[in-house]
Amino acid sequence: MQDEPDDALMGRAGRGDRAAFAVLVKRHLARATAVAQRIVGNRSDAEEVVQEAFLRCWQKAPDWQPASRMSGEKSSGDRAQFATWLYRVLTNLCLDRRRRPQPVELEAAGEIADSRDDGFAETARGEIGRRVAAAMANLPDRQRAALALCYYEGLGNIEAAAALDISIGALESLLVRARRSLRETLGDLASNGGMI
Amino acid sequence: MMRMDRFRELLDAYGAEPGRWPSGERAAAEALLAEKPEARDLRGRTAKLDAMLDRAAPLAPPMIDAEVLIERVLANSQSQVLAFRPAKRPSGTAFWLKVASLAAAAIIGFLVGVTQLGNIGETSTQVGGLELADVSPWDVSPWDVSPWDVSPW
Repeated sequence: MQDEPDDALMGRAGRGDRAAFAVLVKRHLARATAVAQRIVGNRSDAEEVVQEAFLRCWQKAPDWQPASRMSGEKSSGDRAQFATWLYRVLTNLCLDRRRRPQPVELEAAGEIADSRDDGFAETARGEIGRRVAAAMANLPDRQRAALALCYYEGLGNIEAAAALDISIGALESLLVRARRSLRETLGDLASNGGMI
Repeated sequence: MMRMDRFRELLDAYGAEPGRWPSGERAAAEALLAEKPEARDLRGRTAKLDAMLDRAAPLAPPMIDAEVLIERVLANSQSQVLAFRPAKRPSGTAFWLKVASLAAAAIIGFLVGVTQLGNIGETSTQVGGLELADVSPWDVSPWDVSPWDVSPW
């Protein structure tokens, strides 16, 4: 069962096979969690979002159609088919979560993002890492989501665009603006360390 | 061959690593890279931003235990199913048992009420042999009078 494609596992899960569902969860949990942490910016929200995404996966399973029978999906294979669906659900949940009113003032957002139990800050190493983390946290949500999906988690542009429900051109536009913003925000690091 | 402005767009969007470039354009971009020093220079500058972005990665391992998450999801799913499941109609036998119970309770209540009606005048001023006027809540400790000592009749 470990080697079965996602579609087959979804079919089994749809017939109530919990072991098949468990394989799916274990297969996608690490990347889904990483994506969620990078978009929502903190562990507790990321955990809730990932749990909700897999709950929807379990609920969707009885109605799951193999890739060849699903319409309107941009995918290169069965595995990508499920992943595309999962990351679209996950990304939407993350963006919804980010749209909720934040309990901090905008002016303090950078500092808070740097000091919270944060998906960026906690893994950053040293001053440059913390600066990059804060700059990432201050990007507009969709730009950060595009960067998280494409740059950090290595999704192809077709999958990432599908996850954000936009065209590839729109995805590239988000990525360009995100990287340009980061280059400007971190410009002083470039002059100090010759990084850029 | 790929145009330089498209190559610049690729770098601006996807970064300097060819593995991140769209697979359909990768070969053309790499050909341009091999041929044009300007392209290599652009890629070098982009790689510096990539190196900075990499300082924020990788993330810590997943904090959610897969088994715990699976249990939570399945339990949550079950509770939602139960929450949305319409209430089952009682079977015929159960329905008539409930009706009979309610009728019996009503009859017993009526009989008790009728038999106690005549005693109201006699017991209204005395409870368990005590004059109500003589009993103050400050005089009687709740431990002195047990509810079992005082008959309601």
